[in-house]
Amino acid sequence: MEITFKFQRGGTRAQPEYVDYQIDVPPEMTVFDALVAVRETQDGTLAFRGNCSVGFCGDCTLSVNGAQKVTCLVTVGKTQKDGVITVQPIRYAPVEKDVMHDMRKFLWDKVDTFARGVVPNGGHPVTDEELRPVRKAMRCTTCGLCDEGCTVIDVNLDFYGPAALTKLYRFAFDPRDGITAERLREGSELHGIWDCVHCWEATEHCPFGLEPTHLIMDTRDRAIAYGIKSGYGNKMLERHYDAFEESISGKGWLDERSVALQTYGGLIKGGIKTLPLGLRALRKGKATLKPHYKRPGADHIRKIFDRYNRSNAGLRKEKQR
Amino acid sequence: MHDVLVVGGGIAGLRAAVAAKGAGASVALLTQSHPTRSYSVTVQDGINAPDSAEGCDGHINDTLAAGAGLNVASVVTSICREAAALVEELDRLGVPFNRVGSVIDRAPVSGAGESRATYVNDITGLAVTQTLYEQVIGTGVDVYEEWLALSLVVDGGECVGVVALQLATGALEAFDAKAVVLATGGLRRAFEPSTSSLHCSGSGIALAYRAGASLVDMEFVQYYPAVLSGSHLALSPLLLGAGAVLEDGSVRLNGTLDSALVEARFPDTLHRVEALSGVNMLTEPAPVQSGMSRLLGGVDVNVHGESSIPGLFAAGECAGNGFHGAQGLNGNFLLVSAASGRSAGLAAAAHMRSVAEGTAGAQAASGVRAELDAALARPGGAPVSALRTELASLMHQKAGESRDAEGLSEAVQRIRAMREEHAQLGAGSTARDFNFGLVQYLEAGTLLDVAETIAASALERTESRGVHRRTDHPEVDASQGARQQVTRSEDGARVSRETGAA
Repeated sequence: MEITFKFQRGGTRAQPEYVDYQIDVPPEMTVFDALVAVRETQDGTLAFRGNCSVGFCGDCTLSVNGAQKVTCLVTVGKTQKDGVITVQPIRYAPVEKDVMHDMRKFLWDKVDTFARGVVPNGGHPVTDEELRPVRKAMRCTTCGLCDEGCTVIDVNLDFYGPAALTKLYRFAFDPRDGITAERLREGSELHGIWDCVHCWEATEHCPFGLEPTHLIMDTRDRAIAYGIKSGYGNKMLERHYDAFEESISGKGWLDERSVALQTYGGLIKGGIKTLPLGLRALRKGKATLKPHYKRPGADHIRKIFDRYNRSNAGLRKEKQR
Repeated sequence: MHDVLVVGGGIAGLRAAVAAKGAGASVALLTQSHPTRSYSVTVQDGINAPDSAEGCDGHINDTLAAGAGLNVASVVTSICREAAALVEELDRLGVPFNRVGSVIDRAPVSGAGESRATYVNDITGLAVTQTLYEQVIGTGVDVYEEWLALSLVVDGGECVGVVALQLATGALEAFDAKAVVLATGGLRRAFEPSTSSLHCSGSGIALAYRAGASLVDMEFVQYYPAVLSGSHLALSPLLLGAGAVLEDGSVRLNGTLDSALVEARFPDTLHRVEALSGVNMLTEPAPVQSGMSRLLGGVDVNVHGESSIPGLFAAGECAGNGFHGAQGLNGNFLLVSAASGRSAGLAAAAHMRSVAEGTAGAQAASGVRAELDAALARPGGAPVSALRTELASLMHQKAGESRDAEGLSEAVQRIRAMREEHAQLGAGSTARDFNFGLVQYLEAGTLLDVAETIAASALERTESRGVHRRTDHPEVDASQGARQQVTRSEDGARVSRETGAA
């Protein structure tokens, strides 16, 4: 089938400059193979990456007809519209030339931050069950599509992003690693796990179903179990977390008054800070001074919390060591 | 100047870098792509590593039987004996090997007898590559990404570095080193169909050959029977080992394998087969063909990875250490990559004799620069592509699974003619930055050089042994039980046979 590749060479994403290349290829050929054929026979200066051609190396990620793809896993026939395939860089990634992304800046420097190898802890025999999270994370080809979809990277390229945080997850859940706490603290620095806004785009974008957003959430849980409650020393967030937990575990329901007071620094400091808001809420009938009646099911919620804490007792002990 | 320079970022190269670094050497790793983009990540095979002494003997015997008398027995024994420890070490460093309870599982792989392959679902290559890359980052190896090695620097008969091209800028640089480890992988692009990645261009083998190193076992080119039709994806030997049926040009799961097991252990296979061919393997058979998957020979090295040039080491697929002999077993390829990488890295670090910083590197670089500048100006592109495509089809037809004297002679003659045509061609553009026309031209050159050694070596072996099948000599000839070396001469590849021990 006759295909016209409109290949972005120069310009900006908003105002791209295209060069057209025509090639006759079978519709079941992958877009990547077709692009390689164009480069090999028509123009050796066309700059794009790619190596394995079977979806493992993660190197050939591009925007094709507006969709971001690992181009060796999509066919020409299904991608083309009226015989045209427009090739552009993926969003957010800085470009070195044509559609050659600056992957060092976009991806590798961030991944490498968390890639420091396992420091063996010489620990207990590890079960298959314990290694499943690691195995899942290792399916990652670092194709960059999660970062491409990330709504935080959209506004802040310094955010580590789901690909690098998937690497962090891989270590945070590896029972053979001896420096879990240190890694979780590193991951909790500015631009780390706590800057994710859980928009779930990464999970939507991952072509391999690794659910990177879930992995970030799980890493946060892990950090919390290690006593890291918000990251980069934000005391207010830590107090908020503690107050939230105290309210649920102690009362079985969320007491917004006590949470607000504690978050802002206790009865006196918090009282002064939240007074105007409290008064407004009282006036509008959104709050009351009467004590709360006992919520049905509150005891049950408390029990769930107890059970959770007991099941994580080992982990908590481990972190205290 | 580094103590050890490793060329190639796949499993063998990464393992070599980590080993040399661990031995106290300063190490640089030069790779054509980011290490986790290497061909190694596509390998869905397991790693043979029996966990008992009897199992180890069985492994040794099966390896020797497949190798049909051409294995170097001491290399087989040494690598098989260290296999279990090697897997345990990889596991300790973070490879999440599948387990039964807390014991690392051993599964069968097709064509390799007993259940002795350790594995990580269908991503063993990816997981091992990632883990070793993590160690490279953690130990502070200097990584030079997207550099293509073009020439070895040999001074006073010793290898003292490499001249390499930076793809992003077109800059040429001499990397001085006290020892060089080649780990550039195979030359799948010289064959079609194959399991090739774009970068499988035989570059390390060609570099060593051009520098005067001896190659060995070049006639042994192994095909894999289950390569997804129209693609380069090999369906895992673990999948066939688990009970998938290969017959009538397709691989079938239904009726033989439990869907839940397939979904749990082969998720990346299912996903990619569907993406590449539209086939849902859980319900339909996947069409496959036989494709070239592995060169068994390479740079002639001993068990430590030492080549015939002092200071030059080789590991992984570009090295011919004699482990496989005339035929390799599934499950042994990743094993040899990791094991030979480790021993070459250690030997290279031990080599570390003090090499004075000389001018050999700079001289070599200026020579290469002149050649490159000339090549940049010559026409290229389509005619170079045509040469490469013709080579891949020629090698498959004349020097592939089935060979005869007539076809092999024809191949040798044609490849020599193609090399002359190649010499008239070039990059097709004088651009310096990301000039893939130049890369294509250079890779076609290495492919042609190595392809000639394969055809010449296959022509010389007038018998059938292992994966070398001659229709005009269908039997094993006991008098040809010695390995063949190939060296470069003015008239082309010169093949000689080891004397003495078979």
